[in-house]
Amino acid sequence: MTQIVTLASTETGVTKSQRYPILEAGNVSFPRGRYAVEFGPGERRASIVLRHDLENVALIRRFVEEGVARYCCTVSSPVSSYRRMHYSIHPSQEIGWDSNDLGEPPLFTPMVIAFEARTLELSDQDDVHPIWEGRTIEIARGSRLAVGPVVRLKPTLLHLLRIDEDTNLRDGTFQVDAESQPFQFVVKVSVDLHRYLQYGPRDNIRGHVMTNVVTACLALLQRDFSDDGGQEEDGWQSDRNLMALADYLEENDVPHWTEVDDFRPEEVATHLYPHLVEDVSKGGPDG
Amino acid sequence: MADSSYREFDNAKYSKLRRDLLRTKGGELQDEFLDATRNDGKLLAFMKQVPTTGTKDVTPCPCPLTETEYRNPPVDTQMMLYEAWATIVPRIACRSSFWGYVTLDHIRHGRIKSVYLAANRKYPGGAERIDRILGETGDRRAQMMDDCVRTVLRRLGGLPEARGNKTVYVDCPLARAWWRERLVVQVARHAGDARSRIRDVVRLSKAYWEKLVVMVVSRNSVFGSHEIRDAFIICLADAIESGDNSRLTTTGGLQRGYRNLSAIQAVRELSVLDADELREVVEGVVSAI
Repeated sequence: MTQIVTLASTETGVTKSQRYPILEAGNVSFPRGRYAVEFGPGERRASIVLRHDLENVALIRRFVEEGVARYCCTVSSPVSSYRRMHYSIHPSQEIGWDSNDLGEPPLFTPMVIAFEARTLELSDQDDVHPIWEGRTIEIARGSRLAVGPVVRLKPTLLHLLRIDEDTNLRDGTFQVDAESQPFQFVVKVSVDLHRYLQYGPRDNIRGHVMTNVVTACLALLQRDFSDDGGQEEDGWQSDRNLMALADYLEENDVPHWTEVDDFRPEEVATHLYPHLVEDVSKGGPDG
Repeated sequence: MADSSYREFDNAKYSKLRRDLLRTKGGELQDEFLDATRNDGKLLAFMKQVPTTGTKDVTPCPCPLTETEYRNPPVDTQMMLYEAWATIVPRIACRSSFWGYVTLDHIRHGRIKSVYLAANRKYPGGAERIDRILGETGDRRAQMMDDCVRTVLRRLGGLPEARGNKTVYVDCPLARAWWRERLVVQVARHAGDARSRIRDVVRLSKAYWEKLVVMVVSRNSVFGSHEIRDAFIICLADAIESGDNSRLTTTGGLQRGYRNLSAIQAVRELSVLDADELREVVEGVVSAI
């Protein structure tokens, strides 16, 4: 299960004028509001189960209980111009899609939406900021009451790897390549290595192999994209997987592949996935 | 049932070839590639280095296209191509590796010539452009060669490394014709008699189509929802047909309508509205352009 939480108290520096209170990051209309969404695998391959959980937002909870609002989630694949809204009266919903419509792993945007119009006066029973209390608001059909972030369940560098067996490679060897739309690394591994990664123990050797693979992936980025960006209008920044990877590197406080002087693939790889070795200072066979 | 096993280039290998070709401006590989593009057989031989996946070939266009017809397929060609390729699914149709192979297959079957891939407005034809570049000895050779290689790659399925998601929809003529007509057919589901009006909108100009596509394929775009884009395009088509259309037919007008609709969508999810409610909102936006 993956859980995504939206807190109203998050500092975003964004100020918007709203006609009614919304639970979203950085919007203090519901000062203690919390919107958590858990994602888990669905029964079918092309499906997912979501569980919406709202806290400290009495107004929205009441709307849902009265059938005025519903739990929703959009499934989208911009590259193939696909976006579809799914909705449910229950906090748990399973949503599916036709893989033929999607040109990339889907993006999910959870939200709570009003399906009926309402006019009401807000009070201190609604969990809203005092600035809203006593004000009369109009909620139109389709109004977004709670909004979560856009989520793609592929957050780390390891999730951008596709590992394929290559019978032409000698034992113990691998090659790294990449493909576009969306960007991902294609790691071709020898038969024995493929079997080991698939069925072998979760030990340090596996870790060393994967760190080695990540080093090669980062070296590929350095080779192909380090001076990209000025030639045409988009460059690597047009690929959201590479954008997400750039964010991931930044979050981990390591250099980015366009930082020509600082980016060393082996150092970044071992920072993200360090080699785990025994501490020999505490005495070996002779010590 | 849609067939999703169409033959296409191996995506990883084709991506690598494109990156290799872009690596050195005016380098040996670019030289070799342009020399190959000058001749159908040579280009087919050059592209043999990229393996393919899938088993079923798309039926090529039944008759040969001229360079002009290929670069900007006329309405009847656009309709004919989409009808012939109606079973292609979006998962495949959004890929450069697929359209690159389809384009090459058209060269193999004599429906287009490889030099068409290099054509631009500056030279009488693609052949003249390549000849001029290969004969160039001055400082500009490398840049001219790089520009031309990019043109060829854009036509050969698109250049996602430099142009992002829109490249397939905009840069590859065969893909552009397919996606344009698909949009016409999809939008017209809501207004059966509107096909030709809608077709006029999506074919206003290449720049207009490009702007529209960017709005559709961008993350979080209001036009990602087919309900909203369909309603907007129908309203636009109706308004353009009804008379005063000078503002509506410009990319600036399109951009203004899109911005206004996005501002509404930021607080109101328009895709859940009934058709009549949505039309009312969208008509307000279009009339304010």
